[in-house]
Amino acid sequence: MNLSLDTYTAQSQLAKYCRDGIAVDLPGLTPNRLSQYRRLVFNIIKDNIENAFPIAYKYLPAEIWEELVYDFFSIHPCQNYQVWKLPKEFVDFVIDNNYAKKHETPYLRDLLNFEWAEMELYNMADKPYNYGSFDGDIINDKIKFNPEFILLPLEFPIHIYPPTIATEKKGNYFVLLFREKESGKIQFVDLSVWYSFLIEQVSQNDLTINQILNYAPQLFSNISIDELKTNTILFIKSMITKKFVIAIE
Amino acid sequence: MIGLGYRRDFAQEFISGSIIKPDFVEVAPENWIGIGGYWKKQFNQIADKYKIACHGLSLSIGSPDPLDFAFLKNLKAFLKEYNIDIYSEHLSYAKCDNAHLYDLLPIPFREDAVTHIVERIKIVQDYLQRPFIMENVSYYTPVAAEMDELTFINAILEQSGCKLLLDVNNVYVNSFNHNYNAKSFIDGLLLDKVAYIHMAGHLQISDDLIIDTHGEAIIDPVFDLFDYTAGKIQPVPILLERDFNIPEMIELQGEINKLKAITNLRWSKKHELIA
Repeated sequence: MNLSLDTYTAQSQLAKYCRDGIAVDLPGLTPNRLSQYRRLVFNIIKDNIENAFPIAYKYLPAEIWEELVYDFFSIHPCQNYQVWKLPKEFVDFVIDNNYAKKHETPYLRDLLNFEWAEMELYNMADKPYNYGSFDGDIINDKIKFNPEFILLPLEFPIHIYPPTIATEKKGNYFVLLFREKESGKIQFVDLSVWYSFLIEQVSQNDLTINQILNYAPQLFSNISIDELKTNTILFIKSMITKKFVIAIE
Repeated sequence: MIGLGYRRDFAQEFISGSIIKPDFVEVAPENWIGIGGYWKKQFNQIADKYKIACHGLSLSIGSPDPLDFAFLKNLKAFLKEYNIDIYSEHLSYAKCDNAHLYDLLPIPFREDAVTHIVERIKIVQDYLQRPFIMENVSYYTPVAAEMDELTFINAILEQSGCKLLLDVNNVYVNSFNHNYNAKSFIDGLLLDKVAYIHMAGHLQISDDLIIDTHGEAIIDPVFDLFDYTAGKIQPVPILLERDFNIPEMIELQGEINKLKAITNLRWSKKHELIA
């Protein structure tokens, strides 16, 4: 680096001021102008985070939201050169620093993850695929899914209820988000533990439904395998209609 | 050639080309690298219809931090994928102490900063294997300056061999905010280095301060300054920037037409979109 310590210090202090808003004394300033930089920079961050998390922004008290955004930008060094990915860093910051506990908002982790998942999936790079044939047997042949999906485990059903109600319904929830090939729109499907397990096993381990059904007794007591098989066939058929299943071959 | 900054807000208008008819479009590569889905499809339609120029946001050429070669690698691939000739950036910094700030901060106008930036421009030019174009930015206060803005810009242009993206509105904004003569500033620039021009609107927020918002129509004094500048340089591509407060398309086309009228009078030769 060719910069002198003085030049580096001036740049560093200006950058720090833009992040935390704490006044600095820099040489050669035009009076009353430095605050424009703090205002402009912080507005970009504030707008970006607000737009990424409209539900969290709506439901969290304003003073808590402001604290999260202020802390995030002043403490966390933003790493991504693409500003649209900044919300992911915000999610990680809020979770790592346990703001949900501090502000008694247990749903916060799930809500931020859910809102980010939609944005990430909508924007993420294409994973090219083609629809195959559906001539195969649902139970015994290989099922292929649309690869542009996120399977999100949740503690609170914030994909179904507003946060205030979801807070009262702690449990094990799963939501599937996938991107429609033609429109690019995001579809949401509320899943049971079984269907979540099934999607995970098919996509990660390339198993057939029949192979996965072998695990069912370990997951559920008093389960009727025949009933589960029947329901699973109906589920897969519905996912063909939704274009999440792209081939059975 | 008169181009227009591409915004998702009016993507369909660009694609249909029924009202708005730019000769090329400019995009920030950071907004499009690695994007898929709906917006990728839209972008591909834009790329099929228009020549594309890139104007970056996050290279942070004046930063004390090391250059981000992971970004440069993605950028190079993006420029190649869309056959993009022009890549320009801001003479500012947007990252410091390992933290992105997502806006353009003023570099101290100092000799060591010139040396630092010249070295980095050469590295970027070498890596991207293309001439690099640096834009004069608007600034609201100098910081720890030891020379004036004009000396600073010219020194970088001269020593690095890079081209100049002359933002005429920024010259106007800076001349107002820092009380100097805009035409004298233009006269003092190394005008043979100008490869590209930006035009935009701004917002005056107090008696002595204008903010470079890109959210208003271009005012007449900026058109006048553009006319003055055009009379002193060879033909280059012109870009109309409009990022906020988007008006009816017919208004933007009106601004494009006005710029075209000026260039038609000033420049008889047809100019190409090449750096």
